[in-house]
Amino acid sequence: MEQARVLVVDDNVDLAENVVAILSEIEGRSLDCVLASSGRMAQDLCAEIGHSLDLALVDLRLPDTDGLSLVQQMRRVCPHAEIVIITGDATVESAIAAVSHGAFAYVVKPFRAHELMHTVERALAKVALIREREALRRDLELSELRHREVVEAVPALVLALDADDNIVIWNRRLEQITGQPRETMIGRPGRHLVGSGGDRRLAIADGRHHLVRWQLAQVGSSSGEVTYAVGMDVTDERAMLRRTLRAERLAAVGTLAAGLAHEVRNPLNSATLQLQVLRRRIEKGQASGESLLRVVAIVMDEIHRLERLVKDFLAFARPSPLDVQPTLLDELVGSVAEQVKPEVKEADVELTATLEAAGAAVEVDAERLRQVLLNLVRNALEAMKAGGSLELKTKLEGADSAAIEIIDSGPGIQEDAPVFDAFYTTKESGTGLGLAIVHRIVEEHGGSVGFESRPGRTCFSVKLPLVAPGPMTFR
Amino acid sequence: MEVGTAGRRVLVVEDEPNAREALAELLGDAGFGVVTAPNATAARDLIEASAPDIVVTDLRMPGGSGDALVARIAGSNPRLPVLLLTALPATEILPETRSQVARVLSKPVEVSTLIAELWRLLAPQSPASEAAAE
Repeated sequence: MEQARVLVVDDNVDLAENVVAILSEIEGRSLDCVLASSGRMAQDLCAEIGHSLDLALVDLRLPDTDGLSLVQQMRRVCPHAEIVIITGDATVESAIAAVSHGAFAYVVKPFRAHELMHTVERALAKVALIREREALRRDLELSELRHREVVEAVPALVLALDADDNIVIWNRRLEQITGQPRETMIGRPGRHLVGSGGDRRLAIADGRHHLVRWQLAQVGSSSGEVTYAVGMDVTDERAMLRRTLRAERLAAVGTLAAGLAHEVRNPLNSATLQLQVLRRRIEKGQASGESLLRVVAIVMDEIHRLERLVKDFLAFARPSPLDVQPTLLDELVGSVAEQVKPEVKEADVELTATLEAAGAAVEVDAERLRQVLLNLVRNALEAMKAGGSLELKTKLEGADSAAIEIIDSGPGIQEDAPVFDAFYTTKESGTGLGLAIVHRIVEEHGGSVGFESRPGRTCFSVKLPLVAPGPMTFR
Repeated sequence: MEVGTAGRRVLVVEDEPNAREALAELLGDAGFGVVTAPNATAARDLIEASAPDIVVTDLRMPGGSGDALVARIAGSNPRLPVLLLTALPATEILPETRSQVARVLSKPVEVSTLIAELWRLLAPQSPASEAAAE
């Protein structure tokens, strides 16, 4: 049942009560009626309950007040209430005047009950409609406020551009960071600030720049296309990343330097000690030509070792640019197999070449790849101190890559050994850079290198991308 | 030759043959009894077999690290002094290992420095011999 609050203003109390009785007949409504027997009393009541009042039934002829001015006053104080004038014949004209001053309708006395009921129902329906519209408006206002609060309160830079790329939203965070107030920015061109999203420099209040990561949303609405942009200040994040990278690079350089120091000092130590032996022998008069020459040869060896180290280190740390050419894989591996024959024979190792990548071409620097294969072959030979077998193999791996495998029958390596790290070595001679160089060269060719090992079979595998099929020229 | 160090036995653990052989000759000339091992495994056997008075060892060697050897000596022969002779920068020596050795010398080494350190470590802890060793 719909509730409504009604004020009945009439100096004739009997008549007023009669009106209330008639109103109580209206179906579907529960009316809360208040009586006022004078203009003064009506004013007081309106001041008290004005905002919740839905309807006033006002007799124009009151002893203490001019009815018209009462109507005007009530319209002010009771913004939602409708006013129905009840009037005798003599005042029809003033009733019409009252309607023109904002009353809803008038009823002329004597009236029939249903006539009054009908007018009151129409008035209450109008009030309900207006109240409903009012509630909607308030909801809308609240919802808009919430949205505005989100834009202002989020810890992000928020702006919006209209279809012409002019700024229509510039949030508080943007005001703070840029020092530019909303009033100056609204309406200005703003596309250059956000681009099409991503990281962009933003001039900030103190004249420096911050890096802002923008995300854009393009929305087509009834008011035309709008671009909403939300930006996060990633200046600190970027600086931190740069610091971390730098720290990592320095740590890597440190590890490398320690390894290099170790590899330099060992030959230096051997040479120094041998020279001290030499001095001692001369002091003792034991300097036979032969014993002197032996020491000299050792010192020369150690110096050559240092030379080799420098060469390997440069190959690893500062390789010259690749000179790549399309190359037939089988041809290259076959020629390496041919080249290593004497060393293989010397090591009492049996060599087989299984070339199964006929016609496969790879884009490589042939000299570098030859170095890769020589390093791997020599590692394999050194692992087989008591002879054994060595296989060089090529094969296709799917449609777009080929593999070279170097398989030895040596005792094997632990599969988690960091063999590709610079200066990792298990050999008594060697710089610890051979496999690091292999790794580097293969990676520079866009390939990969790995190994599998168990006692009696160790396989190093170099995978390389194939040249895309099509016309090509070979050297 | 200082009284009390002549005839003392040194175990040299070094994988570089040219350094190992030179150390053997130079320390032998200085009056030490020298036994050598090319790796940590051989060194362990020699500590049992030849009862050295002091050990000079490298750290990074193929076939077992010097760190493990140092830890083993600290556990089973705590009175046997160890002198570390390494090509590694000091920053790369494990703190644990550093705390378990009597002295660290860096390669390349002057043999006179090495001999002075051996004397110092082997001398009985009396003021007179301390003075003689310095």
